[in-house]
Amino acid sequence: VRHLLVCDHTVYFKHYFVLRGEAVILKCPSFSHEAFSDLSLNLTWHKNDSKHVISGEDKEQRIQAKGDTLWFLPASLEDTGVYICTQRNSSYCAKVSIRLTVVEKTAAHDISYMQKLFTFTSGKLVCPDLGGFMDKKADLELKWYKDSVPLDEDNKKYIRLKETTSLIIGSVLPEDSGYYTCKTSFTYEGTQYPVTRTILLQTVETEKRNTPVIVYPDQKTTLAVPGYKMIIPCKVFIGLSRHFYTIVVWLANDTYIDMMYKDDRVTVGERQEIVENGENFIEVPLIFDPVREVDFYTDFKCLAQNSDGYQVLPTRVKEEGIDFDCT
Amino acid sequence: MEDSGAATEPLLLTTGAPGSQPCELPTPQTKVFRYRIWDINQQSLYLHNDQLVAGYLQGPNTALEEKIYWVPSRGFKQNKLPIVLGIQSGTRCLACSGTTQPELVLEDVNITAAAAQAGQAEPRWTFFRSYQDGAWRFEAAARPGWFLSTAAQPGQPLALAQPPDPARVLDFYFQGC
Repeated sequence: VRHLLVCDHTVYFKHYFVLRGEAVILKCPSFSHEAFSDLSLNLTWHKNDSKHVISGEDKEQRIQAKGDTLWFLPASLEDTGVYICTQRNSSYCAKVSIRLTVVEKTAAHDISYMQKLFTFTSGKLVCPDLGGFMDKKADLELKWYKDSVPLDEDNKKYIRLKETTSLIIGSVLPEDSGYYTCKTSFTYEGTQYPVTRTILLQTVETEKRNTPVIVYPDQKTTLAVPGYKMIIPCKVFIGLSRHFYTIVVWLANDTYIDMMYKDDRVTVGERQEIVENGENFIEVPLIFDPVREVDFYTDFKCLAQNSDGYQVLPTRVKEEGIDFDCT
Repeated sequence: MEDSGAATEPLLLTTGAPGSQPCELPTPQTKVFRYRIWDINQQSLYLHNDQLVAGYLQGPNTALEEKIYWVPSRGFKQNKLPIVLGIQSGTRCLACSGTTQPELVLEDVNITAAAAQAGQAEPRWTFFRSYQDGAWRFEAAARPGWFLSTAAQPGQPLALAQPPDPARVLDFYFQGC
């Protein structure tokens, strides 16, 4: 008599959403590499409201188990539910619950995949999650639709590479956003079943980027009196770049301020993100509380950078009333 | 709109330019950027078995997408755009480990702490980012020549790869959110 192991039971984190009337393949996720490679494991499928194990013997059956996959040819609304795959041998047992939701075609938008492209660049849409069908030599002839209108093969806006699941858009425009549908079909035992994926394309405005330009401090030296508080703002012009693409930091002798001044005598103040006449600036103050004589011998630098470039502006603190330049 | 910026900081030399808005975050050096990342095959990232995995998220599954948090990495020359990448509000960071074969792991380290410690002596959390033709690449500072990458097939872990590698995707879209 074989004694029964208590099964490890997990719930697969991703839910399957499919259209009624289409071919669907659920895959039993592998828990570990050891389990995956262990051929002695016996894998079975059942629906959670039924003790009945789904067999793979009968090719006439609408739902069939095939190894670590469960096929619906085709899916119907009442298939909605939780399917459990159980992997066991004499020393190991694991169950995974997989949730399947079958919806009407009218609800295709609710189960769409979100994809994003930047405007005025080229990019691709990908017809997702066709893996199981491609392995089984499905007819990979994909048909693409935008808002239900077929995209003709001779439409120059799009490029389709044979044997791929991509639709390339040469130059993405804001009006390209919307719902795209890719369709293929899967033939099993002489019957064709549709496979459809719906994609919601969002277009993202390409960031306008400018190299940051430090506009202040504009002198190489700042006058100060020891013992008094002083603030040097670093003001950076970033044009049309978004604020968060630009980093502005202060350095003292090429070291970050908070690492250099553990006593917080010199600190960096709050970052201000400013818009003036439609153009963007960032301002970061360097705060001396108070100024000490040692500051006159320290190299302070404001550094601004984004993906387009960076600028460093060195500045020195000079004691007020003393003219170093007299000869 | 409140103009507390100028009122609470009377010592500020500039008197609050019109339209200036106070930033929510305390200092620029602890500012953590929140971004969305997806590869040029439209795969986004989600956690599975405590690993970052790239794949397609559909309908309500979209909520599983992990947002990326990043800060500049401080111990490297800034012209190479060194950054530390994390997830879950910056409580876990991407790290390059492994001795012979570089391995990408998630480490429970605060992103600002990692950025402060990062440097030539501690390069594991740092990636150099570079931008070309609309997409970004992230090169491991600990392993020059190795980049963040996804598998061309969905459901595989985010990993490090050395170009050219036709089985791996190295280019990502990276957008603030």
